[in-house]
Amino acid sequence: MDFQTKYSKRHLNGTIYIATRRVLEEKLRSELESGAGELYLRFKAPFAAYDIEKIAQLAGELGEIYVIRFKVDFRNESRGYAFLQYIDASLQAKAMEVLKQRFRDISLDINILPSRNLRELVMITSAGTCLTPLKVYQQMLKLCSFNSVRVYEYRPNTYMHVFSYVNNEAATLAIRHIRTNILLFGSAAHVSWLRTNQTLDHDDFVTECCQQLDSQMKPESNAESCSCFTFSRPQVEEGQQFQGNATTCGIMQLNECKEEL
Amino acid sequence: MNEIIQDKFIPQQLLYFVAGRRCCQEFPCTFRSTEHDIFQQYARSLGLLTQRMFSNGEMIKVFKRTCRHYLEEPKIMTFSPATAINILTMLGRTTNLGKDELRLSSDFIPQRACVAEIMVPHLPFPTIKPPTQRIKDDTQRNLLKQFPGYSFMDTVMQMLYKQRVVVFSADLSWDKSVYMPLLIFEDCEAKKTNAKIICIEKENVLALHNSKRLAHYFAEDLGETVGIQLPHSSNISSETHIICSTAQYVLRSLTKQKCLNISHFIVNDVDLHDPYIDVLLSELRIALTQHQNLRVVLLCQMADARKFTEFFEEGTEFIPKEGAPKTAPSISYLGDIHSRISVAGIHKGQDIYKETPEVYRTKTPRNEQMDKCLEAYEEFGSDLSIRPFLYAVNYDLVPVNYRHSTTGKTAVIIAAQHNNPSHLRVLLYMGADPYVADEQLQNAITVAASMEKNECIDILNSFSLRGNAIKSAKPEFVDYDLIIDLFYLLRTKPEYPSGNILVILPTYYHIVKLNYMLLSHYMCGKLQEFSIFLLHENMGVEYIDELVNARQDTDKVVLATDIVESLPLQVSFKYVIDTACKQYFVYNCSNYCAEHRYEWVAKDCLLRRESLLDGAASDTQCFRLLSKTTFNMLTESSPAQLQRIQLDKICLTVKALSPHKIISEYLGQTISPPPVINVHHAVQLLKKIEALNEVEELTWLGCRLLDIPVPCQLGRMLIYGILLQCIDPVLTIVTSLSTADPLSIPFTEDIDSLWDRFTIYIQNLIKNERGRLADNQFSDHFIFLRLFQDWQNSQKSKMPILYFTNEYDFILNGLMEQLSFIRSNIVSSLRAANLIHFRGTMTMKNLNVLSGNWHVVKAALTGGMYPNICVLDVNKSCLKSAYSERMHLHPNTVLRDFLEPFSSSALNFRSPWVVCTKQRNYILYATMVLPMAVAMFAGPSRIRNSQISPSQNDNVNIYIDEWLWMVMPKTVAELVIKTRQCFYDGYHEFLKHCSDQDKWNADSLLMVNQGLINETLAKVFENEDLAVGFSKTPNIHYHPIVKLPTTYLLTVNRHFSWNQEIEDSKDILVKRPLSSYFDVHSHFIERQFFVLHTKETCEDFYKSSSTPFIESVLGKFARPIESPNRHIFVILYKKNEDEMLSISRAKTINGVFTLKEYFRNVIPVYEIIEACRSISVSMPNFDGRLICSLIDKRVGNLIMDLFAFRHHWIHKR
Repeated sequence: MDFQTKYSKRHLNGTIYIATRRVLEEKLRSELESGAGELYLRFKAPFAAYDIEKIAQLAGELGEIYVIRFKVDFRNESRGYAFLQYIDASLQAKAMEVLKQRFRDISLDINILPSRNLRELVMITSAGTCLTPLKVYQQMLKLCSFNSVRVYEYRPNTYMHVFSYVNNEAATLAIRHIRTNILLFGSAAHVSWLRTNQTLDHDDFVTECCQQLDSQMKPESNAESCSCFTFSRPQVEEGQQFQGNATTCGIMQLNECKEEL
Repeated sequence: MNEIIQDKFIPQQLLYFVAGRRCCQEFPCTFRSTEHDIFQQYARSLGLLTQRMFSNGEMIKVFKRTCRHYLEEPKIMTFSPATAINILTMLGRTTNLGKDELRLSSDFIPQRACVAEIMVPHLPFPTIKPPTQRIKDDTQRNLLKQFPGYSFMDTVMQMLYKQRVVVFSADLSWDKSVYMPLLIFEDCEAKKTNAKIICIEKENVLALHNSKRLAHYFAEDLGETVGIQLPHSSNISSETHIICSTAQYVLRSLTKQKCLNISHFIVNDVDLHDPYIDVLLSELRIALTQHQNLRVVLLCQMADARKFTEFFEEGTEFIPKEGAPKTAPSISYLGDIHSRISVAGIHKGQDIYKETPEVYRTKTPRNEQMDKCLEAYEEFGSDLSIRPFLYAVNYDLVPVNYRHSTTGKTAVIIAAQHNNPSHLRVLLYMGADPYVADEQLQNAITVAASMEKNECIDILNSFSLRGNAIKSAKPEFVDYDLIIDLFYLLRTKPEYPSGNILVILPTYYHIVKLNYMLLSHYMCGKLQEFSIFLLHENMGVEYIDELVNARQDTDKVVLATDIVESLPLQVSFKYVIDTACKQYFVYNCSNYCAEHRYEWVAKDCLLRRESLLDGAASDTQCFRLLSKTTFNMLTESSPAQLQRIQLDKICLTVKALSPHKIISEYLGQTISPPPVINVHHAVQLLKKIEALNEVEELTWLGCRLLDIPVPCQLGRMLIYGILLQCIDPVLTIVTSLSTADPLSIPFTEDIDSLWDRFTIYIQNLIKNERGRLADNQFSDHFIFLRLFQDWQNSQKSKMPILYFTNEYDFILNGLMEQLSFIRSNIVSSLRAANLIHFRGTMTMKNLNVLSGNWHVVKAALTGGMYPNICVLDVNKSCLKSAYSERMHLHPNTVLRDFLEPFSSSALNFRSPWVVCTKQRNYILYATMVLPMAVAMFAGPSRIRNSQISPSQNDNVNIYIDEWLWMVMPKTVAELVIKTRQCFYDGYHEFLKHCSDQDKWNADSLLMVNQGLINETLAKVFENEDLAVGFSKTPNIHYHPIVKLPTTYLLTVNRHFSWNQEIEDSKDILVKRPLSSYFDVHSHFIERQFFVLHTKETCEDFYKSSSTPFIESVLGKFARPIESPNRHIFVILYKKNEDEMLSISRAKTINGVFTLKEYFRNVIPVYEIIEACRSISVSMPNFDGRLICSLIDKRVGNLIMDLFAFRHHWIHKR
């Protein structure tokens, strides 16, 4: 592969990236970044035989690769899966047909699936601690950036926070970061992935009683009247790391929400 | 020929031995086995003891009568029938029963590993190419121009073209480690030549920090032009031209690829002689012969760098003349510091505890015993009668200033009474203080004067002339009180303008302790405000970031170890307090063990530390906490570490680098060749644990140990932990052994002056606490486990605790933070070395199946600690070991009580075998283990037939190694040997194939067998333990997910820093003119105290009290009187139990009145009333009907002091 001009290769801890060097326009890039047309490649054990450059080479024949993320262990041998994205996201379907065969031709057994692109994490903080959702939110802002958060009180004083991230990779980094700092969210807090079949995507509603919070996270009237609130988009101050979108935060019973789905 | 050997040679050898200094000697296989009998006969006729040994063939060991190594008789080992059945069943199931004769297949012998097969972690270095041209912007150009050596740069580059080795020597402020790579890179870019620059640092954090700064120059993220490669973090791409790493890591990668593809090596801090850097230099010298175009740049801070060019036999030195003019700081030594402090008249707080009566003195048997010693001495006054006292001081940590419980006399006073100058001299030399007064208010000096004996008076006079710096006369005791005094000088006296202060301490433990002391003084409002930052080796890079990104206008106090000497910081220091000592890890070849030793640093090191002061500022000061005379006696340059450390890891590294060279030959050619005896010992040890085979080749074990960042023996313990499926507790023990022990028994010098009267009491309590944690398991290693678990449980239910209770708590949290940091580091390395897998049968979960079983953990310890095994000799009532002549039990261990003679501790021994961690001739930490565990896991992995010989009554002797010798019934021996074989089969299989993860998937048979063996062993060891009388173990729980706050100290220091508070009250700042707020020159803080009544516990109170509540009960009173110079404190009082619970500072932040909790403890009111009486303050009345009331300032201050300087052990309830 042409690593001088066309592609760049990078190794960051447990991932090897081969990414295009092309500068893409803003819209396309943000689409791709949030996982448009991502493919999930699953290898068969033993994994040592799978070589990233060979795979990238072959995949590159179909179209220009945006990025291929190859997960490796400490020996730089594959951990059994990789992610592939073309600049042209519409190649996804074609790739699933063609590539599998092409790989088989060079006797690589690779299963190609559309990526689920899991990018939502569930964090449950429990009753008994004095952690209000607001505190969790503020703590989380300090920890790492996320796109949005939705909060459900599914048992009295037990909250479920759904954090969503720009893509799977960001979420992966975040979950590791949160796990090491889980103690910040109280003793009973735990965090896990939100599987696609449990998605809670359709519920970004605003209830009647919710009060608007300003950018300082201060309620405009007295906060004690009800414990639910929404935030307007925080103004991103200069030098601040926060890259969130509109952040909504509603509180409701989880079972209600399931009925909605 | 035979006759010559028999008649001449053998007697001659033996006579040489008799005449020689050694107490015992092995006579190896040069004699044919038929001659062994003759040999033994001759030896006996000379009155010597002999023993047949089996280690790589039969040999004879000869002992003199006095030798303490000799095991007169083998230790007996048997086990119960139930155990036999268990083992038989197990062997049956693992299909090992049928084969009667021992299998001697080739893979049973430790095999030579193929070095090429050991993988190199991470990517090979990317290909080399010229950097792409880019346009520099102004900031980059300006950055380059800031380099003090910018004007010389052409010269240096010219030199690099002419010479392949350039030594660049300049002090830290030149920031060479950042600028040199940049300049070389720029040059390559301009000339379009290939650039691949490797920058080598001493420590991981240094490399991380450096790489960040380099990337900052290119305005890029890490992983583009600048990359990093470290064991657990790598970030590198095809564009990378500058790679930061550590010497250890680079050496590890060089085992496979020699310096191909690299244009420049920049090695930082070569003058510090880090052992790995020294080895790397040899490797570079070899590389230079093979690669014509390689360039090596060595950076150092020393005046004379010729030794490096001499070592490379080429190259030049470049030592620039002074870059910027520097003003020399004023340097003060101990005497000067003491006089300055006494002139300044410092008033520290904590008066309150000064009068605490010594009611604790009379209670314990230890006191009674010491009283008897003193009484006997007082009665006779002879040399003989002082001996027990001196023994207790030297070996049992009794303070030399011990005061008799009733008369209050110290040994010095008695010596003065008896008018015995030689005793007086000895006692004073040992650090006795002649000013301590007895109950009649007489001290040694007044007593001597009343006796009118000139000699004693002279001795005492000359002592008082030398000053009172007993504590500071030894490098191992850091005088915290003096440092605190200095802080009072610098932070309260107007003649010392405020500025950043750097304190250099020997170890992390000292940092944590001083951190608490400073915080408690500062939080009482007695010092001007500052923020504390910490720098040490085992920290995340966030600690450095916190310091570098701190606000400019804060006064920073940096507590650092010697890492600060190689860390260029953009912080200008006005004061340096240098303890001038350092902890070295020194190998002592006379007793075969490495020990931590505190020593004064050399003069060059002091100079480096001095140069950390801001050169541009005019009135910088450096305080060295050593006396001028000591300073004059220091050596010019520090010794190279390679010559002193234990060389086990180095030997393995060297062997991996050049497998065809003898280790001692290779090390002999390094820049600082270590003593041959050290190398020899290290190689012997490695052979003994089978990391090297008999012909000094790496075995598979050796290969695996290379990648575990702990000493070899501890690494091997981890491997046993993995194989016995109890990795978690073993990890905890291994990590605890490599960090400071929070429960070690302190010397009186370790205790602050406030409490050192209570030394004995504190020591007893700590000893009791150790006893409680050990819970009759006769193990110090068990204490580590329990302590870690207790701490973990206390963390589990809480957020990182941001209030203080007392010093011990704080230190414990700090030490545990480091422990969990190192622990997770080790886990990552084990994963990286493929010893723990992500899937299959070797996952973390699977390897912890037996983690709750202490009996198995003990077995793992036995295997891992070998050859550090001692055995009890009942007749002589002493401990014997293969290595040391005399083994003492340190007062630390739970195997003996204070002042207990060994013969009575030995009565409690459940088993004669003890595995131990040694320090000199002391057993510092010991664990009593079963004979069966020793028979199973000690010694080489293969027991040969020749190591077994029949004895009487159907018994057999087993010579496990040349020293361990056991006798057991034949049936038992058979079972043991077979189980051993079974286990070690799996052991070798695992070591050889662990990097092949697919072999260990879920349906693999390998681990199933192992699991079976372990299960049986667990059962068997448990039965046997109970049978010999160990009490039942308390549960040790294993937590699958460890939830630990990672940066406790960082959080705490941030939480209590001024810096943070400014941030919080930004709004107020805007309204207020800045100057008045920051003008803290005049240090007058007024303090007001409120008492708040509560019925709840402290925790509930802070959880439930809402802002409006606090506002309503407190805000209306406190708000109007609050000002920057008047602090409001709130004391929480629980009336129904008459206790003070907590003290917090109240402050208006962002318009909200909030409480920040400072200290939490339980202080009964009667204590406060007593304290008031002692300093004659009118007694307060707390039973007012109001919820909240203002109290007298003096009483408030007193309560604050009571909270801030509480002692964990003394005030324990």
